[in-house]
Amino acid sequence: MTARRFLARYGVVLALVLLVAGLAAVSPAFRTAENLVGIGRQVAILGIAAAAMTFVILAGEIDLSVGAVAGAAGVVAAVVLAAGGGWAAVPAALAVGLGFGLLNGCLVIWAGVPSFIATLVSFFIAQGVALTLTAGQTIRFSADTLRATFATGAVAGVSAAFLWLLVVLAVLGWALHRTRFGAHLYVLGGSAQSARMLGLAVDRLRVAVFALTGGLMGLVGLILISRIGNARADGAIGLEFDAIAAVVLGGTALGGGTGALWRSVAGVALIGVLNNGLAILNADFNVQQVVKGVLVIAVVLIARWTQTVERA
Amino acid sequence: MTALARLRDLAPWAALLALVAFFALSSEHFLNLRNMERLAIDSATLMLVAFGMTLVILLGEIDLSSSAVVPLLCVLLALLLQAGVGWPGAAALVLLAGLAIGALNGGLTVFGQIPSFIVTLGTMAVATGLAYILTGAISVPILDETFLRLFYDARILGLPVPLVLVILGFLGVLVLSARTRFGHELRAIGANARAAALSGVPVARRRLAVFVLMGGLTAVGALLAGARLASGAPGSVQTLTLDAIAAVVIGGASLFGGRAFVQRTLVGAALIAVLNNGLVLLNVNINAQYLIKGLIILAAVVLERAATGARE
Repeated sequence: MTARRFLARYGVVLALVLLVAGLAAVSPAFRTAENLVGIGRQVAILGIAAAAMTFVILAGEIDLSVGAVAGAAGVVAAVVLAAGGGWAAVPAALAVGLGFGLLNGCLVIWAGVPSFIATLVSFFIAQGVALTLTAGQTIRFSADTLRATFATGAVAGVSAAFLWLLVVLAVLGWALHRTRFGAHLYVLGGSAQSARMLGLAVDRLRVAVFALTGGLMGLVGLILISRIGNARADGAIGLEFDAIAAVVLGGTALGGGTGALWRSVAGVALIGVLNNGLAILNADFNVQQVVKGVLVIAVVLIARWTQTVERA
Repeated sequence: MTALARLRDLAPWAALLALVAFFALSSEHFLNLRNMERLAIDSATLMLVAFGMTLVILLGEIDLSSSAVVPLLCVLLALLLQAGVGWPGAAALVLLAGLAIGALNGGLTVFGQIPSFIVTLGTMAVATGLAYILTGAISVPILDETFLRLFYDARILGLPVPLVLVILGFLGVLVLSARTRFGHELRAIGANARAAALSGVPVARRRLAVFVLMGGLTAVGALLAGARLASGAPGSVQTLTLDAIAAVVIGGASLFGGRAFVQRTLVGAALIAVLNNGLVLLNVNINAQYLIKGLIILAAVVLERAATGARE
């Protein structure tokens, strides 16, 4: 394996190791146990979104609606909680997520709309639902057990939010790498035409991927509002970009067919550590945005370049 | 022409007329020359961006960065004026910056072979971050009287300058897309890029040119927005991308490329402008706008696909 090819395949791991080593050397605040736990808590939402996005991108599609849908699901759950609905908030949030996922899937297969447009439509509608319900305000509620279940609680020092991430990763990892569904997804992403000729139910696969993503965004919405104890319409704004960034940084190819779930986990870890490091070094949120934007485009460019090398 | 295709072509006009009639009946402040002029000036930025977006969508591409690039350019303008650069120099630099951002979007899309929705999502993140970093999240006032008058109040042949610029932009894009070889080549690329390349169209150069043009129109839109708001504020035109895409889609453009008409975009943009103005007059919760526009885009997309599908 040439050095260039090794970098293309495992560059993300190398970058992660270098970043962690560098930060640990520079900053005593970074190498504390509390800080590591803190990173784990912070990446739970991004991790679930990136795992779902991995499925979408592997299938050759994209989902720009994840942040807005998670926000809308959280707001709906908060409305139910504020009205005294208690645990009914959970099915409500999941139903909102699933509904938008199905809308995305149906727009893609029936209306034949490119997925970036279909999910952009959902993005706008979900944002509209959230903004209309909140009227631009913050919805407050009190639900200690629900909050503990989805975010604030802890088992053996590990936060509930992080445990949810582990559960989602275990289930999705199994589905992607151990089931026929996962294998079919790779075929579909590699070439929809081949998938069709092999007799795969292409449309059903696509809807399943979007519905799965939507449902998981319902869960993300619940974690989101549980973590802070209130809901705002813009609670998960920009999540779609961070999730795509994590998947792409990990080395899963835009356009579908090649990649793996562990890659996205590495990408999420990289973004989590990067954000944490920038925060420790007192860079503000907007610097982080700029760094991420530049990073994603740079990584996609490098990926294109190495692909060309491999083909040549 | 099938019934559905006829419906697709007439629906924007019918909706615009119905909306005007509705607002005229529900508010005595709507249908008068003063308000119509206000409406035209307020929507000038949207119009210019939507004209550019028409060409981008004609190629089958998308630009998601407008609602971040316009505030960034307004901030740049305000800072340049504050630093004592005269208004002609500041305006020229803003125009150059807009063209450069367009060239960056186009260059990464065309030569980097990255899907445009990823590139422009990246530029959006970077531009948003930069606008906040440059201002420290505070809006920078524009105090240059000459600039404010020239790009907002001044009249040419009795017409306000923003309206004149919109008319010029419209005629320019109309002539370019419908009456020149360049326009025919764009349509050919949008319909089938490979076939266009085989028949000798310089595909890469044309695609790049469209993104640069989009950047230029966005910059002119930013100058008008800066003058209208008399400030450069990060996060100032949040619905711009939504509105511009909505305008093009309402005009019945195909999101796969190859079919988009700037005269229909004009009707779509007028519809959005009337909606923005009328909803404010009727005191409709401004947050419901996303929902209403999202549903309008959804209807337009489904109608367009149904009409095209029925014809094939």
